[in-house]
Amino acid sequence: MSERVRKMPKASKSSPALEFIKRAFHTGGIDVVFCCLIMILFAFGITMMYSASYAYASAYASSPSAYFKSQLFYGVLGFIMMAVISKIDYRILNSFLTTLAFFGTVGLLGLTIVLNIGNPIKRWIYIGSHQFQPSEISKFVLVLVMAYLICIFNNPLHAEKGKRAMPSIGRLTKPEKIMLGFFDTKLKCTFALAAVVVIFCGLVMLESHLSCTILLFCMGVSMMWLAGVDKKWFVLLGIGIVLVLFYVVYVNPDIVKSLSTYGYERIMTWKTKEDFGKTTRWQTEQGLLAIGSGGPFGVGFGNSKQKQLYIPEPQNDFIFSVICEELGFFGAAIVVLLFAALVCRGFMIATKAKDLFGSLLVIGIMMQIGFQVILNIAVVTDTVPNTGIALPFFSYGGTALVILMCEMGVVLSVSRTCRAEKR
Amino acid sequence: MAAGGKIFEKDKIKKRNNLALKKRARSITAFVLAVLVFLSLGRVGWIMGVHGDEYRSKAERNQLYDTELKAVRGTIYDRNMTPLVTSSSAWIFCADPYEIKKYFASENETERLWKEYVEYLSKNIAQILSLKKKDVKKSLIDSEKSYVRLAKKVDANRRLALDKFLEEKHVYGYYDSGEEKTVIAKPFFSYENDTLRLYPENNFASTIIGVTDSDGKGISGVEIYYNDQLSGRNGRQVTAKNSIGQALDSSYESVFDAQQGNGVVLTIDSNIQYYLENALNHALDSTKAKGVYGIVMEVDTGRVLAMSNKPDFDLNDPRKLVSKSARKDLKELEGTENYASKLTEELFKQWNSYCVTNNYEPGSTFKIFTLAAALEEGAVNKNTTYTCCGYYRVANDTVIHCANTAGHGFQTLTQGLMNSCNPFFINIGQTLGIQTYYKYFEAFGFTERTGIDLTGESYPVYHPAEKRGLVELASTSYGQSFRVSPIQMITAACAIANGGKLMKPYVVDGIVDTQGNIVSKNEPTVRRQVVSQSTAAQVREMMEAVVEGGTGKNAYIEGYRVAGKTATSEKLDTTDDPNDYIASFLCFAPANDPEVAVLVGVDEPPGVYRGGGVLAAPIAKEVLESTLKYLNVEPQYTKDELASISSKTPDLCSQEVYSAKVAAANEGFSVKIVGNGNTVVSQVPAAGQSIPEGGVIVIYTEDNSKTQVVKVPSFIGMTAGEANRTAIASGLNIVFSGPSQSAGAKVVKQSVETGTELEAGSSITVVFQATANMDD
Repeated sequence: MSERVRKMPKASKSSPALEFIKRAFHTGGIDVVFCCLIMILFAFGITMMYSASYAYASAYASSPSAYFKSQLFYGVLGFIMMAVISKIDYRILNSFLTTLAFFGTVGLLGLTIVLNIGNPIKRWIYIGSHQFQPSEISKFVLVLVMAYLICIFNNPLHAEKGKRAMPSIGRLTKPEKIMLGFFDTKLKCTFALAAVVVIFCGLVMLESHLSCTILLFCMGVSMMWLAGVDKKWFVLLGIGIVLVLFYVVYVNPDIVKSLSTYGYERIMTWKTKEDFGKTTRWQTEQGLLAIGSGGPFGVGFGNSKQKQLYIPEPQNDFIFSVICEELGFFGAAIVVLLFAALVCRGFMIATKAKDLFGSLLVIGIMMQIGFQVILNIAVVTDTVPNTGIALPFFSYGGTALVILMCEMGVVLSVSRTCRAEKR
Repeated sequence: MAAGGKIFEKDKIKKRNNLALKKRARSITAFVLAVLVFLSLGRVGWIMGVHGDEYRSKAERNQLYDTELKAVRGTIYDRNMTPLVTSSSAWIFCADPYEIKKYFASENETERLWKEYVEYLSKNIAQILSLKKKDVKKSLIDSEKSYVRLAKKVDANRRLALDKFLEEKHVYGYYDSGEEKTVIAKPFFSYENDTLRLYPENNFASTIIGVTDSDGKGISGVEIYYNDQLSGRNGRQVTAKNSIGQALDSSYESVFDAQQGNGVVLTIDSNIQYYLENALNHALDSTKAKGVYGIVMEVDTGRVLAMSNKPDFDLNDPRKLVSKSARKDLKELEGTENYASKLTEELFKQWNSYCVTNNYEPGSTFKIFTLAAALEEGAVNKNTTYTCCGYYRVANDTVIHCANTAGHGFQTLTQGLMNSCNPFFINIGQTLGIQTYYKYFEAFGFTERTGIDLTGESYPVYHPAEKRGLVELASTSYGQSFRVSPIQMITAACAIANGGKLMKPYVVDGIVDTQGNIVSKNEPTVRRQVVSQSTAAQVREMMEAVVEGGTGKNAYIEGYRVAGKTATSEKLDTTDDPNDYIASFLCFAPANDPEVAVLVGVDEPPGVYRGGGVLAAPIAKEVLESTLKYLNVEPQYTKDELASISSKTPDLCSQEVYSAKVAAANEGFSVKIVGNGNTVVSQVPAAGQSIPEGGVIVIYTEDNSKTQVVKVPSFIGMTAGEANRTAIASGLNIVFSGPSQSAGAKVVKQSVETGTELEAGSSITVVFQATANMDD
């Protein structure tokens, strides 16, 4: 299962292009449970988004349903993308395409930073009137790159202690072999993987996208854990994080100030519960009031009052607080359990995947969703500083939704192979 | 083998990798799921469970706008259901100075244009609302605020004027370029609801009605005592609004209508109150006293029919001090820290009902209670006599003088009361003894408050039980050395008038709802039987003698049996000037079956020393006479009175001159004919007028005959005989009022002024007043 597999359906004697297309599409059935969960989440999500955005759209957009319509459009687009991608064999990604994606993303992130010099928030680039966050795509690319590298480094990573790695199994392309020759010990590989995480996190952090940095970090560390990196590193990392956080929050918060005033403000408002930059604490407070107003079964769908312009942009990061207010603890539990079910199902797909690459991709994507939901709820419930992180399937945002659906397509694509080969 | 070994090796690695990945995938997934479910839901549950109520109420405070709908305050009626005080809707006028400034934020001459506009607004608004421009400007220029109240209690007319101004488009300023700037002011202003208390009668019954504060809550009089009934219940309008203050749709709104306050029906009769206030006003003008006060009470029930003190305040301007001395005192304090408290004290003094909140030494009017006590105890009877030698020696060393220092000589009990002889009553008191005397003192209610339904009723001040000696007894016997309130005095007097029952006085008859249905009623309350009916009747009889021939003769009314008692009491412990005194008169009528009692007091009259019989009795008489007539109390004429009684003129019009002459003669009138016609065209006085018996009726027999006109002569200072002769000589009919037949009685007032031209045969009333032998 973990073996690097390049066994694709045998090509018939026709043109190379046609051959590629034929190889690229596979025919196995998709995982119906996972697909249903996505559909339920999307339907639930867009319904709640409609409710949450109604008042805000009435006040600031062309019509009360403006956000709903836009989200629906991207949703339909996303489903089409998902369907198409689920048909494409994910294994074509285990190639130079990933290298391209890596450099492309790094370049895009760098470009974003350069284009936004002088802006306090540097995470957006504009294509025409449409705004787009390259960091959105960086999440998937990180999973992809990590999965790709882990597959290349498979042998050194699993070498016995004190011994050189076993020669690699499976066929590697020439550049891959060169790279494997360079990273031939477990330590070197560990550092190589860590370097990728650091590059991604660093670039996104330079964009002042704190929440995404944290998310990428969590995902990167998870991928390294899956790669089989020695546990001592995680212990050291854990201790380090605790020490740094303690130092930053309680001993010398000014050090953050010198790095990023934005981050400093967010941390301080969270710590002191006072309003520094006015809007960030206001949003958190109003979100908390909404959650508190919910009670066990909420005030009823559509009846949230906190969404009436009290919570700034209730359709975005703080949609969970509107869900809590309208549907209560019960509704919040359903949302959380739906995500938990999705992650569980993803785990099952990963364990049944045909190869290591597929497994890593699926678990990586699941980690992305899991951590994103955790961080979002933690932000909304004032457990961590308000850093601006969306709730997948629920928060408004066309590009993010389409990218998410594409990732779901990848998961379904993986599910097709295990199904296909089972038959 | 090698190949096989490699395959084996590969499988081993594959298995190991597979196992390792599975283990690690399982652990990381489990970790994420655990955090997701337990931490997230735990936090949500914690917020809802622990902070839920706090956050919900906090959120509601943000979301719900609670507008108070002010209840319209209840109406105050007199006992004939004539409204004395009503309320109507009004508005609070508010402005948003922040928005005004913001409006100009985009202009390049912001500061100047904005200031010009505020100036312009202030000028116009101040003019419409009769405010000071300076104050309005101060509010409007404060652009930090987005809510200021410019005026409360804006009535409908002013609101109309404001609306007109606010809705117009105004050119108020120019850019430096000369371009005009126009703006509509309306969005910067708003109204909130309020209510307005309307006092069409100004001073009328002001101390009974009382005043309200700026929130419409009662602070004195009936307004505070019955505040709960009058204030009604404020309504609420709860609206959910979004964060920028726009109302959410109406499903979030709930309205609780305001409930108008109940009406309060006073026992006050506007007519009687008017008689009283009118008489008091005249008395204040003529005597120049510091103050005058009076109460009219229904004797059987304790209802206060009228009560007033002058000078009193205007309900439309309650904060203006009316008392000259108070204004003077306050002026001295100006600028000191005591000023505010003194002002409040003086204001409450003027708002309160003087007759209820003020104490005085009653003086000789109190003798009727000493008398009643002694009669009840059998210590004296009608035949008791006493010889006054001008003073009385108490306990062998204290000498108390009589008002008549020469002494009244030998007197019967009735004469003693008529003369208001102090030694006689000291003697009666001493005969009764301290214990017995104070039993009645207490029984008449002089040691407790009456319980009238007005706030601030004063407590009486009297000798405490352990300090009651013979000297104290002596002075108490004739009404000095203790203090009671006028309302206590008249309540106790009513007990004598109604056959011994001490009533609880009250000013509110009942409560009615907005439709006029009775909600509750105050019933007359008998506090106790103080003396027997026969005792009371005897006292009344003697009091009648006081009016007929004693110090109270100025209260004599033709056709009515008036019982009264005068007093001239010293203000021993409340004033620095030993010459200050209070002249008062207490009376009720008819003496045989009294209906109303009247108490009138004149506080600190300046000038020559005059007693209650001279100063207070005529006022009381005026009030009592009007009241009795208004209440349709049947007159009972004595034989003497019948002789000079006025009779009604017959209708002579359209009759032949001869038969008219006969008809007039039959009724006892003589006739004066003007013109040469055969039938009577008109007559003066007209049919049904009261003129003295034997008076003249002028009849006109021609349509166009010139009416005979006479000039009214002055009757002032004449005796009855002189006045009669003068009237006949000038062709007028004269009607006497007051003690015309008593020795030394002179005319003090005439109904038509000297020099006025009247038709011959018209009636003119002259008022007599006696002045001799009136000391008490």
